[in-house]
Amino acid sequence: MEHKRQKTILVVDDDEALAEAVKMILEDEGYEVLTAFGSKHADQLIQEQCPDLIVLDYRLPGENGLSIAQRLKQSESTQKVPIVMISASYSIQKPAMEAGADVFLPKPFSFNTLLSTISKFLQFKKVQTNGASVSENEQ
Amino acid sequence: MEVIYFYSLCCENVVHSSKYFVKADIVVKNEEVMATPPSNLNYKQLFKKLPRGIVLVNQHDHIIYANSRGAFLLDFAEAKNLIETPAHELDKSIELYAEQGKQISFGAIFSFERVKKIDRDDLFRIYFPRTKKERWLSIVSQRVEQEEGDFALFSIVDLTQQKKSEKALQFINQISVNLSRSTDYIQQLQHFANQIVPQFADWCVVDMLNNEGELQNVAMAHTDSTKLESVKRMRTKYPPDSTNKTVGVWGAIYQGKSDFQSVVTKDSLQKVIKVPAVRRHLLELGLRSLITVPLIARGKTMGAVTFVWSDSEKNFDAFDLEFFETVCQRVALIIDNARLLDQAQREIELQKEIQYLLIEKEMTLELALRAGNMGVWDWDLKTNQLRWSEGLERLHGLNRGEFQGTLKHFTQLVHSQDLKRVSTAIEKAIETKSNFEQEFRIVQPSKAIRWMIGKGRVFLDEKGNPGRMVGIGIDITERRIAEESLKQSEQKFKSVFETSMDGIVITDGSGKILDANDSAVALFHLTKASLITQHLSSLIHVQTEKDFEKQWSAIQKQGKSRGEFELRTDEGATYIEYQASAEIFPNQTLLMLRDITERKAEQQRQEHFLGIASHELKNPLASIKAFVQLLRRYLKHVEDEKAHQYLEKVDNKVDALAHLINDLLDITRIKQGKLEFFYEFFDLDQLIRDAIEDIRVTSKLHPIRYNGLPNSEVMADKNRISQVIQNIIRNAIKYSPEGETVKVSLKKDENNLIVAIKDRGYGIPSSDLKKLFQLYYRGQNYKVNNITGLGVGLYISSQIVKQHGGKIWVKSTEGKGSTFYFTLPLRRF
Repeated sequence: MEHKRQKTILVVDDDEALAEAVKMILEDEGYEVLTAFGSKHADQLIQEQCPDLIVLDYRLPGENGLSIAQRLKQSESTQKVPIVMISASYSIQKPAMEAGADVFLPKPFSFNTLLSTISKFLQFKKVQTNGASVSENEQ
Repeated sequence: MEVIYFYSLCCENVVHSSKYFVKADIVVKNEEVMATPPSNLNYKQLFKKLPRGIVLVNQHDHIIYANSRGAFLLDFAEAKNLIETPAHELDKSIELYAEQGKQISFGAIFSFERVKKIDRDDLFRIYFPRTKKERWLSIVSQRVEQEEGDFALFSIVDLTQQKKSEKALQFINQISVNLSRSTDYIQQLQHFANQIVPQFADWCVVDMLNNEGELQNVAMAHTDSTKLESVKRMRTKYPPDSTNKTVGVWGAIYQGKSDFQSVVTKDSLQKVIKVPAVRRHLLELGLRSLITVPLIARGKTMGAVTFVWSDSEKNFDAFDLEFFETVCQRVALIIDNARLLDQAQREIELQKEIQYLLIEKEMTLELALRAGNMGVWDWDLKTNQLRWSEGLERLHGLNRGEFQGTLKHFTQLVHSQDLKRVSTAIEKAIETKSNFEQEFRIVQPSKAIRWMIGKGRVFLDEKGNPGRMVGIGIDITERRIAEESLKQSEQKFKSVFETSMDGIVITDGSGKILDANDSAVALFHLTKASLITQHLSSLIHVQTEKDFEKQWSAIQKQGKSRGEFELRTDEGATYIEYQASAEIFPNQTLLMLRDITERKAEQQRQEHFLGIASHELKNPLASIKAFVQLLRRYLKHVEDEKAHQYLEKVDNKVDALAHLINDLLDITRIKQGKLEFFYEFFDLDQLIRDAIEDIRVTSKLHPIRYNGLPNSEVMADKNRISQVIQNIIRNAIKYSPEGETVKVSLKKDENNLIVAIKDRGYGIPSSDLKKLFQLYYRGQNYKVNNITGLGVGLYISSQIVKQHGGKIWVKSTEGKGSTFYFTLPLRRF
């Protein structure tokens, strides 16, 4: 993956408006962003594009986010891809982490939080505005 | 002088000490006698009066003199009839036997030649065929030398009585020895009767008194066996007359002394025997002389022995009476000894038996006796005598000796409702020769009812028939009361168990079902038969099986626990809530089960609704927020201050709305006990920094200072702790005038990380301090300062902290500000 200039992020959310907004912000930050609105489309993109990180909503039509996360973490080709699970339901945090998500963000989230979280995993670019303290304390 | 001397010689010779025969030595020397020859006249006078027979025989063996005593002893009416009779002539009327039994001629005894000069002393038995009498004689012979010619002097002493005594003594000794050999006194008495006949009597009848005071014939003997039968028949038909207390068997028993009828005649019988048939019988049997001797030992009359002469044409004399009395005294003593021995053996046997019965009952004799709740009984099935120990009488409320010794009396003491059962059991025990054991009630004279356990064992006699029962009685009233109350509480429990709406299941330690009530059976959708012996775990859905197994070991270790599981059933998802206790019954676990499927479904519906609500409310917010943020990015380079301000406000209000929704959802979860945490290790110091950064974005008017503690690793729910920190800081800002600094610090003590958030705000009235963390509670001053809020933030924060094992509290001075503290334990598990 080192040869890649841009890191690719897959955003999976059936709320198209949110997915679009997230896409714009992340592209603005220099990431290549793919969006999917359901598991089938997501699977296809994962297979074809090999994203570096997945932002995954819990509630999706058909297969839900937990199930997708579980599947990805069990598959050898995708188990190392970080998953940021997002949900409007706070109670999804525990099952999300148990399913293999690397981090959980409750909706609504601020872009700053999202960007600092992503940058921790991808170390691609420093996050602008108020993100200094986050990047200073990278694990 | 000489006469007296000679007389003394003779007397010395006839002296007998007591009735027993003792031989006296002749100590007189012939020379001395002859030195003073007395005159003929004097001799004759002397001989006449001598209490012994004197016979003089000349050298031709002719009797030349006999005194009257001598004639009498030889059954001659007058002495002169003997004079000039050759000695051997006596053989015609008298049979003479040597002591050893050999018949000899008188000629050989009254023989001048035989006497010579040596003194002889011989013992003979003579028999008179005419009178059928016999006599024992001691004949001392002596040669007397005289001028007219020598002669032999025979001095004859009647030793019949002495010999009888001797024989009697021998007999008594023999009887004693024989009787002592056997312990069965009835056998002994028969043996005794057999020995009496025919030597001492023609019949001998032994009668003994039984425990009821009735006379029982125990032994009988007769010289003539055919007559024995008729005596027996008569005795059976006409037992001794108990109304006549002066004569016969009853006379002897009542008077305690012998009844002696030396000569029984028709007339004398008439006076004594009232029934003519009996008189006739007795006469037919030839009754002619009778002695009845009571058997007395230790002052107690046990019975009587009757001796009869009939065919032998003999009559008892005083000697016989004395003899029989001596014999009977001896017999009575032996019988008494035998009885005592028998009794002692019975006692020993009884003791052993009781020990046996008690061992079976896992009690010890000593224990039971000491406790005073046990008594002993001994029932002779033959005599129907029922002996009770003093203790048994006491247990029945009777005084010592009050028990009448009969089964009837016992049955009178048994509770009427139990009597039939007890009687049947006793009869059955005897019939089947088996053991008896029954628990029954008795009614004491005071009407008090007590519970007893009776245990007994049947003993067989020598013929193999039940002869005796021995046993114990134990007062078990206390035990029965305890059992009854146990039964009652058992019944109560049983009815609760049966009718409970909750399912109740009792299992063993491994979870195997031992019992289940109807509700439980219905719960499992099984039949009772198929439920029992199943293991609980086999009824539980795989999904919840592991949880349940964990809980199960907790129940077995700690005694109780509660939880829920899903049923393994085809009837659709069924959830069971249980409360289990292993403390009620030893080695058993009791589970109360309740079907919570409905409740669970309702809860799930609620949760589902909440989930939907969060989504439906927050998803749009998420989008709004995203686009507001995007918009602010696009307008970054546009110099329109108002546009920036408005967008920032929208952004903040979206956050505020999101917080409110989150708070409401949290409260619902807390109420449901569903506030779940995701524990992970993180640096609390970093978390505080991030939280402060987030707040700074929206609250620029209040400087926030942080005094941190780097690398403060803690195990907690990161997002929830962040929520607490942000909540308290936002509160601090809300309740502080603009420009006032909020100071946040992180410290550590031995066990905890301590977060403190200090403001210089309005402070909290002391009346509010206690209620501050209650739900929907708001400080009194919020109206004054026009502060909005739901009054839920601190409640949620306190719940989160508490569930992390930490503490939360506040110190405040009104007008000066407040400091909130909360702690998180360093070592959570």
